[in-house]
Amino acid sequence: MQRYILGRFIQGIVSVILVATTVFIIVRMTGNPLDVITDPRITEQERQAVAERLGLDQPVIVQYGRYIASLAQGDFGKSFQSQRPALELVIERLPATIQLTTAAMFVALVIALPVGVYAAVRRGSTLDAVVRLLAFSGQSAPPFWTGIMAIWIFAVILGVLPCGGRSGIQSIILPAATMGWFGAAGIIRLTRSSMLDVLGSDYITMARAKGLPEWIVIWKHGFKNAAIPVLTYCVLLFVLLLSGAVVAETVFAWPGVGRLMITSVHNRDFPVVQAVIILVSIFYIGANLIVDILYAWLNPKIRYQ
Amino acid sequence: MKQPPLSGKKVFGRGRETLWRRLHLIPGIPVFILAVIAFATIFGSYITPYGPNVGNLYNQFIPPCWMEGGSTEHLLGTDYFGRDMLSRLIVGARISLSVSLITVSIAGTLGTLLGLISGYAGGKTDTVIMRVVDSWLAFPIILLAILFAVVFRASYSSVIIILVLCVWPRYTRLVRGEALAIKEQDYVALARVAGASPFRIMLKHIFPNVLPTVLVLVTFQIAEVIMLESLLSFLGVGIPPPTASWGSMTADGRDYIATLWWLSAIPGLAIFLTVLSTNLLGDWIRDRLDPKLRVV
Repeated sequence: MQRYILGRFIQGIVSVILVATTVFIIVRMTGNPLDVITDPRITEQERQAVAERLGLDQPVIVQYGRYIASLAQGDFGKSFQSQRPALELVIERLPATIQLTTAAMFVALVIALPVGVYAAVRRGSTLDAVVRLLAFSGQSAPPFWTGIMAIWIFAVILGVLPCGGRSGIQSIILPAATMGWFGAAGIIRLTRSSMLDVLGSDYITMARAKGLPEWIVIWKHGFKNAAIPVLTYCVLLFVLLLSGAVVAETVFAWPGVGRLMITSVHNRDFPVVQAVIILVSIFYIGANLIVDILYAWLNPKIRYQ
Repeated sequence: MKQPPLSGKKVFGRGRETLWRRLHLIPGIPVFILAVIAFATIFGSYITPYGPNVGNLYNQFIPPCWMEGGSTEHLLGTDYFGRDMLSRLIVGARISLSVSLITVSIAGTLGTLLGLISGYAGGKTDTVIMRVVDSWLAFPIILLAILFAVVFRASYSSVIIILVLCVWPRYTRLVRGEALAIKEQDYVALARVAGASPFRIMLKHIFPNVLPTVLVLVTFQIAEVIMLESLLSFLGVGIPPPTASWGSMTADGRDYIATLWWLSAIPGLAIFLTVLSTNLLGDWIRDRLDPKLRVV
């Protein structure tokens, strides 16, 4: 098991380096990386100074080496807007995004898991058809639109919830619900199909034959086994939601990492964008790593591949 | 006393299940919606009297014709600049459809070709290509798109390039899986014995058999690309203004949601209906062409 973990860990580090390399290549691809990397307001002399510091006249390999070295030390450059280190800005906003994403996951799971399970148990019924239709529409509706409509209905017409900002428990309901709704659709479908697979198994028939109450059969025996693929999907979904938080944060003016990235893109504040992308990638790769390890722990067959 | 079922699957009311399947059999509604949109895309400019980017500030914020204050001159009202919403909606349809069709054609061709090569060649080529595909797919698309948007100036063609780069790996993975299975068939072996070149085998024998699966993926991808493009435009990193894209129209209307809700509601609804119809159509095509792919 340790060897498996070690192997995956090394793969993770390689992936992070790959992401950083991709960013490096893309920036260099524009032909004149100085236009991207430097603040357009600085003087020609300062540009020259930056060019020397980055070694832009040096061979690409040297530039690459310096780039990776500075990243490893946590130096992502300074934001053009605020002149503060980009890394600091990102870390400042991270708790808000994690809070929102956790709330969204909570909403999604609370809605989706029971709904998915019962849609499978009552397969072919009206409930099942309605659920599948809702899940289908949920995945077809653009999340930014459902967010705006939610603001319109709950904040403007009904006036019960605030329309944006981060100001207390009421203000997290709408953004979490919007994000959660989108994630719930996927979880519902996966839970339902996974549950359908499990319900056809012999041990379920055995449990029923033993005379166990139906709810124990469904939840203790059925759901526990159906949950494995759902669990792996959920961890991945968490990180997907992190990047999907970009939309929710923009719509609801939630002061998180996603919104930081968008405003930085509009201001062409490259160091911050770079910092966000690399940090989110690290999260993503880390989550994948955890999923792989978890899966291998739950299912011993995988370890010996 | 209810008889407990022998298997775990309680099949409720066979009538209801058949009704759902029957409704599914007729893709009437999605086809109708898509036909309307296609019609608007092709003939739209001849129907509306206004240019989509021509604004008249005296005509700001006129509501849709069915509301108080609306007029039949502007069926869906006007926006901040006095531009006609219906005309902009039609241009948006044209953009969404054209971007998605072009993206899917390019990505589909590239991805399928790579998948065929990877699946047929096997060995090291296969491993390398699949490694690239896996790590590419593992990366969140939005981040990739945003990175591109900040480095390259956003434009119609750059959006297509971004979307193609985001989408091509799915085809490769799918086609490679199918190709692996097909190349074991007897007729492929026969072709090889007959002296056919690998290229010929891939094109004439393997490709026609993966085509149905690819077509199913294509329909779902069109929906996904429309969604992605509107998302990028909404965030401001997609098709740049003043070109009307449904996503940027929704974003523009966001500030006025309290009073002029239709500015955001209508373009967003257009996206929803288009994506929904394309998905339903894709489901129907999949049921016809390749039931194995059904995710129940």
